[in-house]
Amino acid sequence: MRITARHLESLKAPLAVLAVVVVASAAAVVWTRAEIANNQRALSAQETLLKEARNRFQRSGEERDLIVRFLGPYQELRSRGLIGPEQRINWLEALRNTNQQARMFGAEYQVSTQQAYPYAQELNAARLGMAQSVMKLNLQLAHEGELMRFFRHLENQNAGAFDINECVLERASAADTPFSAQPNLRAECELAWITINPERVERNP
Amino acid sequence: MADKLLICVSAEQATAALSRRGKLAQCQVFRNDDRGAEAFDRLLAQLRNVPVHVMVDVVEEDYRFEMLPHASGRDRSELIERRLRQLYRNTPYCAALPQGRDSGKRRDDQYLFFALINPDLIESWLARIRVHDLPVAGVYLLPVLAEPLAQKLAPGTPNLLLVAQHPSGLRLTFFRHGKLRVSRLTRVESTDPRGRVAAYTEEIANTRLYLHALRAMSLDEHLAVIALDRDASLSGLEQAVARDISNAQATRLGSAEIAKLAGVPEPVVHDVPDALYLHLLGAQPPRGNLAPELVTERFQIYQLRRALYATAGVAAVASVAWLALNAYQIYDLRSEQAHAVMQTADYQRRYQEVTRHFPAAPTSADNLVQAVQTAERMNSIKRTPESAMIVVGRALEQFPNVYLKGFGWKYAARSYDADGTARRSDGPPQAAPGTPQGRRQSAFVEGEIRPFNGDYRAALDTISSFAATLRQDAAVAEVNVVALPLNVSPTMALSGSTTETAARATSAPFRLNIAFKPTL
Repeated sequence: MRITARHLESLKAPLAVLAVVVVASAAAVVWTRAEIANNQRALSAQETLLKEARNRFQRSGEERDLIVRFLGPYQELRSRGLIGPEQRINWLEALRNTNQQARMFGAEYQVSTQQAYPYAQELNAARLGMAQSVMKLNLQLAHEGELMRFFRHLENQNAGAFDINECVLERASAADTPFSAQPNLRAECELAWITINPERVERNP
Repeated sequence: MADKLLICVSAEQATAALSRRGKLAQCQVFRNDDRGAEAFDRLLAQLRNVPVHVMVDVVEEDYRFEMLPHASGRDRSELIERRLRQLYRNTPYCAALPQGRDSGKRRDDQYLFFALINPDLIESWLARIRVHDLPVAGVYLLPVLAEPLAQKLAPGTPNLLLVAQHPSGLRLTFFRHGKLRVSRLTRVESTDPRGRVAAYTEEIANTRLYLHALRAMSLDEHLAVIALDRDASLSGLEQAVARDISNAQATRLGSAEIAKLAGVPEPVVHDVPDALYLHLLGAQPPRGNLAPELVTERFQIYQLRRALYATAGVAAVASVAWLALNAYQIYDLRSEQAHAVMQTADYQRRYQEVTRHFPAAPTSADNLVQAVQTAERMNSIKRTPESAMIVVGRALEQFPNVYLKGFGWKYAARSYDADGTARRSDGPPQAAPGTPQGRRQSAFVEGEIRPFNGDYRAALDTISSFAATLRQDAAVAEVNVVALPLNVSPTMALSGSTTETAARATSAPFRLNIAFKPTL
């Protein structure tokens, strides 16, 4: 039998019903499948949390031992300025004290804004919130030995932890014979004052 | 609600009955006149979307038993169609039923061709049905519907003549091995029982001769006659047949026997004579539909509509089942999640309880450990310029004529060689781009040869020796001479004077870049 427009008129209602049923069924099935996927993801996430909570509970004894063992050294590092916020005043005081103690001819400095420490990954400490402030130092030295003496004095101030990135020395005068009472060398150094800022994690979950 | 309307049309009347799931309701008879037509209209008006099956019991019918060459599929359909057109030019109500294969060598196909010769007999009834927009499922000849009845009443009988009184006359239908071969309807005027038996016997005898003439069966063959005697008015027919017709034996079946053998409810048999055939029409999907496509077009649409609704229903049921399964899965996942949440909360509570007795710490144990270990690692990799200064100092001790003008050291991922610059640019310190990997120490030495009397060869030799001495140091990985007092490269222009009066060069500056080994 050939279907004509007249026949289609008669078939309009069942075709519409079929279309509605198919579309509604497909939509409902798609929606429920999406719900299943969402719930599976949520369950997976919750199971991860459960696993973490269980592990944390099971390792609580071990955790206590670690706290007892490492709290002291941690506090020591904090008192030395490595852990915690930057102590720029301490750095400047340390510079001043070092200059006086080492009897040098003065130091000029420039400190940059704080940035992420670029070598944190190298130290496997990417999640410790390591930061650095780069300090540029201009020193007048009687001889090259004063440079290392200056850094040792600075380190002994316990004002913070620093890395020496670069130092350039050049003669201040062309004289062949240096004098100890006047600056014979100019030194330009770059230090990185490093701080560690671990997140304050509440022990209460 | 009825699912079928069954109608038996004869020349004088139409018998109609509604059927629901194979059960026949009370039959109604409509005379072929105006009153009958009105009553028929009233019946049809009550129905909506009920398919109508029409059965015809009239004299104007024709049966032909023929053989056609064996064919199948479309060829067979076309062959039958062509033969029907040849046989019945004047009526669209014709059909054919396969009756088996011939036993001859050609094994031709046997067909029974049959037709309603006078379509006008049913047109008025069909027109009324069309007016009420009811779908006509098919039009059938009554004897075609009697075939299953005959097989039930006398199974295995090779030659059976089914005799029954119908409103339109006496119907004698012959079945050869259970298959309809021919049928005839004749008027029997006698109302007297004895006269009726005699008339029946005579018609049976005539039919016997007719069958012989048609070569449907020979006179030598035995003929079994079954007479449907619903009102027990044919008493003595068996004896009359045995006496008057050779090789024939008649059997009368009463209502109870008909009902029992045919499997038909007894009220149906007791109803009008057409009721039995209407029951058969409604009980099973009949074969041998005579109606052309134009008549059954609406029924085909009706079936298509039902199929679409059925498909929608099946789709709905399937999707509901699927949704139920999904809903159960969602419920299951949520239950598991809720259980996991409870367990997590329990572990957290227990952990909280345990940690209440821990020493107060500013951060987590992991952070404590990692911070302390990081500080240790920082100390272990910390570098100062001191080692590099010692290495350079050791080399300078061997070259008193090398005058040091400048010294640079760095501990970074990029060495001075990689930088390609002698000094850092002035200005505020810059952040290191990205995350460098593998810091190493490097240095540069800027100096000159003193005293210098213009002997460039000696100066270059001294610088080369100085660089070689540095290279020999165990802490040095690489030494590159990046600037010399005189550039002798063929790629550069060179100018000067050899006259005594010309001003001699007073210095021989140079520059070396040194890369140190990681062990320094």
